[in-house]
Amino acid sequence: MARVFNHQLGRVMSYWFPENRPERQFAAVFDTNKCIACQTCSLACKTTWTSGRGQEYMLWNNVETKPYGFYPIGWDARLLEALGPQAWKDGVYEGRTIFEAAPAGERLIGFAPEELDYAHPNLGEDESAAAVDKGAHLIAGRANAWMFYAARICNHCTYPACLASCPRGSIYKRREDGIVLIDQGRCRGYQECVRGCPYKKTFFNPVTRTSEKCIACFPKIERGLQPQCFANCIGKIRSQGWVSTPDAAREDNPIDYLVHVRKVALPLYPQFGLEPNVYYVPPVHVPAPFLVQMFGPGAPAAIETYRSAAHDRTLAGLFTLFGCTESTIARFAVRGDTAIAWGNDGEELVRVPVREPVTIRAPWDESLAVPRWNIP
Amino acid sequence: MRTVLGTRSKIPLRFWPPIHPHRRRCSSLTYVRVCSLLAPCRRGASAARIRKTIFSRVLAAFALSAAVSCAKKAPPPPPPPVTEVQAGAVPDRAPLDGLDAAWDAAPEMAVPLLAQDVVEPKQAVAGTPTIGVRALIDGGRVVFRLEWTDGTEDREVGLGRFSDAVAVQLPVAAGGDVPSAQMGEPDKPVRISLWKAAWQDRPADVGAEQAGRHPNAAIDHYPFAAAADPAVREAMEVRYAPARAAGNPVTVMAPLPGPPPGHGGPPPPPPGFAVQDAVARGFGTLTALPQPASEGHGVRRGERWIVTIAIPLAAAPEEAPARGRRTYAAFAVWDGSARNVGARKLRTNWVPLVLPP
Ligand code: SF4
Ligand code: SF4
Repeated sequence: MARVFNHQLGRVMSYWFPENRPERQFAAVFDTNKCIACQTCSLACKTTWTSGRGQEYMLWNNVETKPYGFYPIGWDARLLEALGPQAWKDGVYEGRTIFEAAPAGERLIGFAPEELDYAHPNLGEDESAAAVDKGAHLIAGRANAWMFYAARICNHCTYPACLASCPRGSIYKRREDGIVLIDQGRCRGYQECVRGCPYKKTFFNPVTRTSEKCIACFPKIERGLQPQCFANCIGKIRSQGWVSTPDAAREDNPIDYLVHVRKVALPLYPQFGLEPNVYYVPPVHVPAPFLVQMFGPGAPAAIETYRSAAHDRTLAGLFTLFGCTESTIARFAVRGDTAIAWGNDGEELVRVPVREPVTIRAPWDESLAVPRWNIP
Repeated sequence: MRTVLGTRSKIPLRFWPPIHPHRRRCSSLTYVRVCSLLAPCRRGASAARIRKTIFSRVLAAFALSAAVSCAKKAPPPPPPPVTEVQAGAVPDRAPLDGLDAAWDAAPEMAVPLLAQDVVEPKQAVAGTPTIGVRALIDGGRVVFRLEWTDGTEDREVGLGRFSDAVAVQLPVAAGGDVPSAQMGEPDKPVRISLWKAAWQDRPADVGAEQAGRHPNAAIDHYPFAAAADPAVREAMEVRYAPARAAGNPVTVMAPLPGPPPGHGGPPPPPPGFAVQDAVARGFGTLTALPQPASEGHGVRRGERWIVTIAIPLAAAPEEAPARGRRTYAAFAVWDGSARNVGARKLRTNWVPLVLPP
């Protein structure tokens, strides 16, 4: 195994191939606080990519309710249990990654889901972490019972476990954008990637008898457009762009700004050691221990920063740009009350007001003699 | 009594059988029964005589028992061990049926199976210890008959479900200069013929197969199902099966409708066709040939698989398998229930393969 640097762990770690970062890396930020679990993203993906035979059960994009939702069942809980203690100290991970915890003769520690583990994609939907008894409440920020929605796609990891576990080298990471793909002409259906990916984002097609995975809508990415699950998101929780390494972070790159500068968006289970490139704004109402387990030790600080967005024009402006354009936002700025986004080639994409103008009308319309509804 | 005996030989009692002190009569108390049996006391016999009689009779008894036991345990002369796969020539077509009587005449070599423990993912445990290999050669093919124990029958491929399988590996170049037995080397390729139970038993109608496995599954629609023109429908269906559209040779063996002309590589082989030919130049390099030339068939007998794989003889004498050449073969076995697939397998070393002229 090679020694590589994983900036999410704050240390070097073992991986099956030497560090080889792409020219630019596909990345995304999901704001979990805004997701309403409408599954429009899942359907947008489904109808675009997985409506063939053998793909019936596949959800390259899925949305599950945490803590009791899983697709497939127990995907994270089973691995967390197998991995052993996952301690952090001063931002450095002290436990073992899935590569470092590999049993003898294996490339990593993983597990192979059964067919029926995929049969309940809505398992645990809307179930809260505790009973909501009389007098209890589910109000954000003061909840004594909680749940939240985790929208998940392939993380197009910097150190992909799917790629490392394929004995045929059928999986590759594209130099131009870091998207991880399975060579559909070369895969022989060994299902090692299904066993290996801790996020369970490779899928076995029992009809073609090969494996398939989220392709980040690369035909759209190549044209400067965001993937289908981003463009169709009702909650405007998502933004796709490019992430740099921390030392090369740019303040005007929206992903860099949220991930490296403000540290308000965090990786999903960084302790697995894959350096996943989909970053999450953690839900503000969830107890810190659960968030630290899921998003790493930066979760409490990320929530503080997120709460300050109401008084932070740049942060608020950037979140306002989410979902306002189908194009990939490569650069942004907030000038006065306006947030501006530019595309990959420097072209201006969109301008939006940081605060939408609000007019409050009198509740009674004198001229028509009817009551009025004020709709925000 | 002991006082009477006190006058007898000075030699301690434990070394010599007690002899009658007055050489006249035996005492059942002093002349122990075993000695009485061996040398019944005769009046007047001298002590030396009695000792001699006992000695010679004990000796004879030993000699006799040794002779008897030797006669019992002596193994029959061992048959010469089968240390190479000697292909027997048959005038007609060598049978693909592994139970055909023609196989009885072919000597079977028991080849030890080893766990693949060189590259990750490794196979941790060696399951079945040996694979029995026989071979017959006819006008154009060498047919291997491979028999091994596998208590679980795995004839399907699915999510987390793997097929039983077996493979024959030959060097591409004929002769004794063979590459690594583990998938060959970059400049010394090997050819591999792989049989899978799931290929032999692939369902003719994939829709019915899926419905049978998941009777309660509801499928809204397939986009291609709406196309009225069958050619258009099939062309669309291939587009919705990405590996098929990419011409992946594995999908040729999958339960899919054949591609319309101009789409997705070679047409699927006929139902029941179960062998794929491939070339490898080291670990992870297995590359299926576009058109399989070998064929094979597997049957179950009790807890055992009996699989035949027929490989066409090479046209050129410098390629294997060629008539009249001594070369090598290696074998591999996958047990689906043990999640054996790809690198997780049992394999053999090279064994000599002799093909008659
Ligand atoms: S999330 Fe899984 S499938 Fe996607 S790149 Fe990472 S390891 Fe591979
Ligand atoms: S479309 Fe957006 S809001 Fe709806 S479930 Fe998907 S991520 Fe959540």
